[in-house]
This record gives sequence, C-alpha cells and structure tokens, in this order.
Amino acid sequence: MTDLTRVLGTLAGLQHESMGALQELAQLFDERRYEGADLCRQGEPADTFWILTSGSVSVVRTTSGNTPVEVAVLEPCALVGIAGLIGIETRAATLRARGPVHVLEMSSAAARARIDNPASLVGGTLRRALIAAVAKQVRHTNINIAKLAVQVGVAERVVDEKNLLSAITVF
Amino acid sequence: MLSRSPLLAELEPETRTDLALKFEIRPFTAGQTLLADGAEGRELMEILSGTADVFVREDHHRYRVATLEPGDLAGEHGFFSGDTRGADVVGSSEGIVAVLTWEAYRSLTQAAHPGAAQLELAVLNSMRDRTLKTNARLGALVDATKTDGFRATFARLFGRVQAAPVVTHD
Repeated sequence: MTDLTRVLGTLAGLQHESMGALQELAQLFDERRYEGADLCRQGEPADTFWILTSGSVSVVRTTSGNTPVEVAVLEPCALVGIAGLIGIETRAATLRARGPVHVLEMSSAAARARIDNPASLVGGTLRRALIAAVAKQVRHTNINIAKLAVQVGVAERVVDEKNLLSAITVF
Repeated sequence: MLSRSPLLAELEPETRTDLALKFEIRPFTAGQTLLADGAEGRELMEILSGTADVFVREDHHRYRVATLEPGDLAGEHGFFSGDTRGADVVGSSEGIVAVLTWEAYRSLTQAAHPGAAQLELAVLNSMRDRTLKTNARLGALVDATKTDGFRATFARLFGRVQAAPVVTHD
C-alpha cells in the first residue's frame, strides 16, 4: 500500500473502499505544497478541489461589509474546496494555508466526469467521499448557526440528565 | 409513495423496484426522536409524509436549524462517514419515513448494482440544495452580526424570534 493510498483510505466515507479503487483514485491527483498562500479565493470559479494531507487551512468568509471572518479551520485528512463538485460554480469562501500545507489537487471538471458516470469505479469512490464531506460541511454550518442562536438568545435551553448531574457536582 | 419520492422517482423502473425493496417503511409520531445527537447508527432516512424538525445542540442549548418535509433526507453524514449523529431529528407531526440500512446499501455496492450509484447521485443532488441553503443562511447571519438586525435576521430565516421554553430530556 502506498502512502497516498493509505491517506485516501482515511478519508471519511472511504473506509470500506477496495485497494484497487483507492489506487485508481490516487493516480488522478497531483501533489502540491502551499505555504501561507490562498488555495482559492471567495468569488472565484470553483474549478479545483483538494485533499488536505498535512497542515491546516483557514476558511475565511468576507461579509458584505468587507470584514473577513474565519468560519472554520480544516485539518487532515479532508476533502476541501468542493463547491465545484456539486454544481456550485463560485467559491463562497477563501481557503488559506496556515503555514506549510500539503494537498492532493485535481480539477473539478475531471472529477465531475467520473462522479456523474454511474459505471465508473472511481466515480463511486469519489461520490461517497464527496457526500461525507458535504454532509460534514452542512453539519459544521448548522453548528455555527446554533452558536449564533445561543449568542443572540433565541436557542432553547436543554435540561438533560447529564446537565443536571454536572449542576449537582457544583455543590 | 417511496417509488414516487425524489430519491427514486427518476430511476429506471427495474432499478427503482430493486432499490425500493431495500428500504424499510416506519411510521413516526409528533415528538418522536428519529435520530439522536451523539448516537451511533448507519441508517439513511427519507421523509415520505409528515414533517420533522432538525435540532443542533450547542452549549446546553439546541436550535431548530431546519424542518424536513416529504422528500427530504436525514442521516447522510452518519450513514456515509460512520460518525455519530450530529443532530436531533424529531417528528413535528405524524408521518412515515423510509429507512435504508447500511447493510442493505452495502449489498448494492458490493454487487455493483446500478441502484447504488443512482442513489448516491440523488443524495448528492439533495445535499447540493441543502448546502446552498445553509451557506446562504450562515452568510446572512454573519453579515447581520455587523448590524443591529441580528435577531430580525434569525426571525426571517428561521421563523422564531423569542427564546423557546426549556426542553427536558430523559
């Protein structure tokens, strides 16, 4: 098993993939290194995506008032910059390398051709990784919404057994 | 009902029938927890009738981030990644849900059944719409933090302006 194949096997959604599928997937990517640079910028075409294999990446969204807000920090191993793979043409945020970052890089169009082909073995592998990554992103976005709801005081307070026990231990 | 749902409606009849037979049909009631935050489980759900609320927990609070309607999916993240559930999904009316177990799905992928690929493409299509919606909502809220319209933005996006009562879980 190559290092690249091993890394791909740790991606969410790919734990059950065959070695052959992972090896075929690995051959589609170019290895690249970024340091302190933007992998992509908000508003640009979403024509490339990456698998983050080492280092961390900030997700920065600039508000309508031109204030940059860091909305997430991505850690390995993760599929990033995936908007173009689900038909969203424009980047909704900037991805910025925090120090040295190693990625696997591939064009969105090349991946889409495989994803949309039901008969492609590697297409199935990409679909499963993509669904897991998109679902995780939606989950993260919803957590951010819930944090803001708590901040503004419109969230419901939950009293459960764990909370009650932690309150009792204060005594 | 399942065969006409967005998940299966576009499939070839034979593929649709094969796939439909893999799902279990379960009724649910208002207040019934369909998925619990933090729980294990690899089941993918499609709401066939009725509605269910999606609550995300944060710092001893929870917030309703979505209401699922017929055709909407739940549980994709845990199903495909194997992670624990990231939200509570609770029936907000009586309804019916179609459930696909991981084992049933794996039997399709291992047999290279065309239904597996079609199912994945349908899930991706659904996820695209949800991503656009949640990104737009978070973007509007992040923008609103810089103005005095923060609460009004929550009310516009989620239809709730005042803090809801305390929720007690057993």
